[in-house]
Amino acid sequence: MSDNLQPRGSDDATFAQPLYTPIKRRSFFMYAGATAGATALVLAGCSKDSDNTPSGGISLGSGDVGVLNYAYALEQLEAAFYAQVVKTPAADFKAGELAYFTQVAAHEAIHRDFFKAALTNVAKVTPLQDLTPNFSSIDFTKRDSVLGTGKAFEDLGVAAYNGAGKLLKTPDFLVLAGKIVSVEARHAAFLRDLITPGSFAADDQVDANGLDKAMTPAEVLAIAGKYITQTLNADNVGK
Amino acid sequence: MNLFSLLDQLSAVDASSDAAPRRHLLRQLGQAGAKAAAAALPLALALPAQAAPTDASLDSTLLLLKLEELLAAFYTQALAAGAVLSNAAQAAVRPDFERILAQQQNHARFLRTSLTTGGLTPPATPTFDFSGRKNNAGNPELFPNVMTDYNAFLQLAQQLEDASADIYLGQMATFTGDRLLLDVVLRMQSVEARHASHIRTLRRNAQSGVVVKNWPSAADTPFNSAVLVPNPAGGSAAPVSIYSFETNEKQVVTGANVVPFASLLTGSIAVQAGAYASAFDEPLPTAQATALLNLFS
Repeated sequence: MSDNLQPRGSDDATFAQPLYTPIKRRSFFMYAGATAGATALVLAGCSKDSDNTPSGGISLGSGDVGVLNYAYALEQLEAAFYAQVVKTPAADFKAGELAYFTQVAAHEAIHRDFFKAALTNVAKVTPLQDLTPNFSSIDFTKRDSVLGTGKAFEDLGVAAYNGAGKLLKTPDFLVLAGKIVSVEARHAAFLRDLITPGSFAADDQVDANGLDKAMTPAEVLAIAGKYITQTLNADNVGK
Repeated sequence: MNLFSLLDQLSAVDASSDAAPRRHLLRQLGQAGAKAAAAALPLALALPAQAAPTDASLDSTLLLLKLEELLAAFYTQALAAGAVLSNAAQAAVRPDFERILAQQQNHARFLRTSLTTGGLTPPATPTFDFSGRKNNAGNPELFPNVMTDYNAFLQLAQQLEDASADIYLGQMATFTGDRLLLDVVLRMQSVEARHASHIRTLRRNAQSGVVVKNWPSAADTPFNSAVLVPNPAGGSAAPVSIYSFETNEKQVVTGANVVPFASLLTGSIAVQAGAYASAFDEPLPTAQATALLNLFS
């Protein structure tokens, strides 16, 4: 398949050159402009924040276990949300919407239990504790409120997986996370289209390069934490 | 997130040279991933690869490039065709397909740029034929009317987008050696899944009585013209639907380690058993992905 690829010799030299001195490289990035800097930062992830002050809270752990616990925490939150939606459906749901939420509730419960099982049976660790959701800010009696919150959770979930996938060191876990985020993205697109038809991959979520949003664990928990009674600490996730 | 921490990482990487030429090219491919993503950066210096990409990540990049170029060609042809996406009823969804096209084109551009920036010459874009005739009128028409009939178009669009999400999943593990490329591939994959979900919604809206959920489901109404791929059993075994890979009810974490859903989901939540398969999208293996792309070129 790759036999028809020909190296372009003239470019080799550019790539083979040793890096300039660290300070020059550093200067280049410092002056490369805000947009370029932001892009590079997104690409680099957040693996080496050395100035983190301990923020307290329940530690999600480190390495792959940390990533799995992080995903487990988010799936606990989503599963609890949809379980509540199904338990106390909004009076103004339209035809078919409760049936839809019932299926999504099953997906999220399966995702939650999948991570618990992966942590227990495969990683051989004690999983993160059961979290207590705090949904006091959500009006479950109103369709608009439920759809809006569901969309926010699903988009956040997609961005969380997209940001955390590269922190995983075990390829099998990466593929499993991909199988799940793919379904989360389907949920997100469905809810977006219910709220605003045609907004399934709108500019607020997919950037000008056609890339879905990716967020670091700290960025995600800053938003999700509002709905969780316990305080979670993702400082060492993926490290 | 700390800018200076990142800069320290970058400056600490030494530019070691690779002996084997192919390995060297592949390492450049990884660097190219960063360059193409940061398209605005006039980098005189290549970003360091996290690790040397493998042969597999190059082949995966080529496969994904062909996939994205196929999807871009599909929507380009449909938007240009007089009979589909152009009548009054379809005018409302035309912007949706323009958006999808733009995103596929950007994905293709990224992958192509990754290769060229890495010093490689990507293959020419094939001439895609969505009738399934492979650009030869003498061949049987596998997918009739996709460029004239809206429902036929949507049926193929759905299959291609579902397959796209699954083809990405099938290639994902090859990018684990290069976090820069992996980051972008992950973010393209979930966009493909969004497209697939949207087209499933459009199909449900367009045809009453058609069962089509937003994820692959055994309950979905069968297609008039299904995309078939080689049977994993090989030999003379009959070709299978791309959805035959989606019926997986077991999730193997590593090796033979199966998540015991049946013993976990009991009592009041036992009803979830029917949702095991639809809670996960499944990878389409490379052989089937390649065969699918070859159906149209």
